[in-house]
Amino acid sequence: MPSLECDAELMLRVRDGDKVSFGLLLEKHRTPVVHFLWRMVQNQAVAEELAQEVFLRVYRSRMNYEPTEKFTTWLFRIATHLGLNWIRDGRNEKLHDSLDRETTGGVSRQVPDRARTAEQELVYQARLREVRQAVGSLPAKQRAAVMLHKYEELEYAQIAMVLCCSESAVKSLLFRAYESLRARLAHLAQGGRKNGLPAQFRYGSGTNGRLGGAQTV
Amino acid sequence: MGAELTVALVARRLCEGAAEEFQQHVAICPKCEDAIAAQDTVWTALDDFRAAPVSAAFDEKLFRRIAADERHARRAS
Repeated sequence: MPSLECDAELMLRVRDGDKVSFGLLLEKHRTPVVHFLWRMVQNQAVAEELAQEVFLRVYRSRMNYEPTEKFTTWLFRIATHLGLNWIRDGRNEKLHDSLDRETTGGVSRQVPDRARTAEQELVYQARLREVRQAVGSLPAKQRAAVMLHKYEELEYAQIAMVLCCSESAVKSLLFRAYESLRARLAHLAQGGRKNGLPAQFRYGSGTNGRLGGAQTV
Repeated sequence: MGAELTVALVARRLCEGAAEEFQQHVAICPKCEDAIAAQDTVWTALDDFRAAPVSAAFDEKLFRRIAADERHARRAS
């Protein structure tokens, strides 16, 4: 019999009244959930507010918890649902961060990297603005699919369970999203297109993709 | 299938055999080469999309909300 994943074991302990286990789950998943929501809604205060709602709902559901799926699938389904609702409700029109503002709710959003020169920092911030705008321009569900795929490194099947759709729908969302991002961010290519294919993708480079157990292609 | 392979290769999620096979194809296909280069640009750019640290008061606020939620639930029952 396969052993339960660690998160599921912790959640079962939470179900049994163990608050320390809830703290451990929070410690592990707080940052990924907040960061996922920040990339979705692009507002730090809102992201943290929504993330708190995620964990509140997890805690509220503890008595009925059954490990029928991966804990992260459930967790990110709640987070995605809240993020998509917030975007759909149009509140982002009023609360969207001004890209010129340094802070949101007293929290510094982007701390300059002291390793960069002032000019490099300007270039970096301009690039970051472009990326934020490109991601922000994606339809909400495409945005969620990319965030789950890129930053949470979820497989298509797991993204499908989070988004409550089929795997083929996930692939459609992702490929359309990446196509849009390629069109918007093409000018950010390092060293222009003269250099062609990056070395790590050339045949015989010895740096093939991750071994085994990856997306089934 | 090409789009799926391109995304998977750049995301480093192809198994070694599939990656090698696709790279052999890419070596003779300028269209696929361009697609991979473009996807790599996006992938690298997304690496810059870094979020700020979570605020120090996050947990405290959450536990206060949980406590308030439980008080409300007790009153309602």
